[in-house]
Amino acid sequence: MAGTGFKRFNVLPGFWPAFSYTVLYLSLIVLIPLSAVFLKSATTSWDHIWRSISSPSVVASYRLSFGASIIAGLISVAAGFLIAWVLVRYEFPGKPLADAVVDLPFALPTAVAGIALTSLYTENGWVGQYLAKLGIKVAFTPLGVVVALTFIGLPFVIRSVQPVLADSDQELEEAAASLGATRWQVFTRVIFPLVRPALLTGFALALARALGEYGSVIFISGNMPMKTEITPLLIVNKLQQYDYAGATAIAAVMLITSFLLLLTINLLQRRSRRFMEAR
Amino acid sequence: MSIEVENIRKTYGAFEALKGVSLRIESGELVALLGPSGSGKTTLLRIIAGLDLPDSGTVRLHEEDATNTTARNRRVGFVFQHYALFRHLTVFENVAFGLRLRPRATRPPEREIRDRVNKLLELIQLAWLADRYPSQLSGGQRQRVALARTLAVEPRVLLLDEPFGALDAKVRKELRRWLRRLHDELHIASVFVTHDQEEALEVADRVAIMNHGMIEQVGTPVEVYDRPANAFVYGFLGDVNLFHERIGPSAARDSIGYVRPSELELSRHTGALNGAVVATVGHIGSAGPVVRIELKRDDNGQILEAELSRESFREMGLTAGDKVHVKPRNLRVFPDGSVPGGP
Repeated sequence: MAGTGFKRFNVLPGFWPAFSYTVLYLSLIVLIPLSAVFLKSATTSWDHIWRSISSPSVVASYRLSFGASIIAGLISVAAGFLIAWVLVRYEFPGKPLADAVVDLPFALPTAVAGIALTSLYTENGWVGQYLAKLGIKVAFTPLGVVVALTFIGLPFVIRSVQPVLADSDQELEEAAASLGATRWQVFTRVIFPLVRPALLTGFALALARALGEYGSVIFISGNMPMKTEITPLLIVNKLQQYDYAGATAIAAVMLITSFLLLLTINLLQRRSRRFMEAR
Repeated sequence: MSIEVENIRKTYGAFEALKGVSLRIESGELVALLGPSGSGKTTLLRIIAGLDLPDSGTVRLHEEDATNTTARNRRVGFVFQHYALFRHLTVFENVAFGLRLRPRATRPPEREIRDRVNKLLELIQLAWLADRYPSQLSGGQRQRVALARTLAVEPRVLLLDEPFGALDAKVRKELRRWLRRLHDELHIASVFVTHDQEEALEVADRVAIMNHGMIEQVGTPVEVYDRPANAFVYGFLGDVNLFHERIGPSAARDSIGYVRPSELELSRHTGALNGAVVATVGHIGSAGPVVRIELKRDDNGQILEAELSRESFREMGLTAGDKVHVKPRNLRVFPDGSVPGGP
């Protein structure tokens, strides 16, 4: 197999079948459908494309979609890390139950989540009534969008951080303490650097999921033009008006922006896991 | 800088890990805590370091009560069996870790940190690996880095928990000699935990032999080897053969006699050895400076192990299946009825 350039010797056979299958699968399932987005939007005039992707309501929706997704991702990182920590480090009654509950947002149909969250957070809902007294409105505001996206993004962070935390050796913390580290230093200089790659993975996954989320958000957001409309909703609206080219043009903008965001996170992650790749 | 523990007790649930242990280690002394697993030696070390708290008893460092001082404030260097290096930091940064932690007021300037770390890397002969990550090092190199990391903060005492336990035999030997030389240069009190009696006897100034949460005997290697306090110590420090009957005039009735393989006298003729037993030669391990011979007593089928020098083995010309007369040259009897330990 000399001369193929990128295949190195491996004890397991089957490089070529496995590699060919990977390329074929990624093409059929991911690349070809996605390129159809660009092809479809190319069937119309530049003028139409530009008007579709730059109308004020669409621009407002970009801001909401990306802004809320990033905020929700960050909240998921903080909360997810804490929950993963508790699940790994402490023993308490009902731990397996708590562990299973984490995955519920994965399994729940998003519309159900949306309806449940909406009824909780409206001004006369269980939680909403108390927040309303404090002057905080959640349902039918951008805040509601963040709440829904946090809900669906949480398991990603927990599930990526959990195994790394479970793997990290308590001796490392003892070593740091005996070298004179305070508890805060043990956290910032030992634990955090080790889980940082996993946190970034969790963030990327939660962000990606939030950007594409539709079902749960449209219930809690109320879909007020210029205020609480998310981009996926506008795409669906365009489709309902048979403006396929306009819909795919907006989709292409989302696609490219999401890709750039995820690529950046991936590069950051590579940097933060340099120590793992060193052999 | 001395270490003193007094009447330390520690239980984990129903298990008594330490049952009132007292020990004093002087400055400049290297003491080995030797014992089988579960004897409490690591627990004792962790209590000295402040990584575990005793249920009762006191820990004094430099004559000051440190029982309630946290690990961070004890200024005790601790080396772990599995190195516990920070894998996200380079070798250099691992060694610099303890210095960089310090609050600005007491932290040495960057240039001094670099100098100090480089000097330590020279000392462990790994300066050329400064920019590598721990995953790129061998076990012996990792343990040396761990030691340098500990020394960087200039600990008042050095504690090592089975420091060479995870290394192969050759690296182990090299490192323990190196540790001995290093200790002599530093002149601090050092304690290391091991279950390897050869390691303890070779390196330490004094050996404390532990069993079931108690110290059985403390003494210099020669003292504990030549004058073991009980059968456990005797058995733990070397191989033993048991003689259940009276052999020779000194043995009391019903007591068990112990003898080391090298202290068994063998002869082809009965004349020279009065009161010998007859045995059949089994497996012979003849590689190395001593020849190990497995013997099976003809009278009760008990297996004995004997060691001969190469010369006397050649002179006797023994082969498997031969009959020999066996007599203990030096039989020990311990009246307390304790059981000989084995690693």
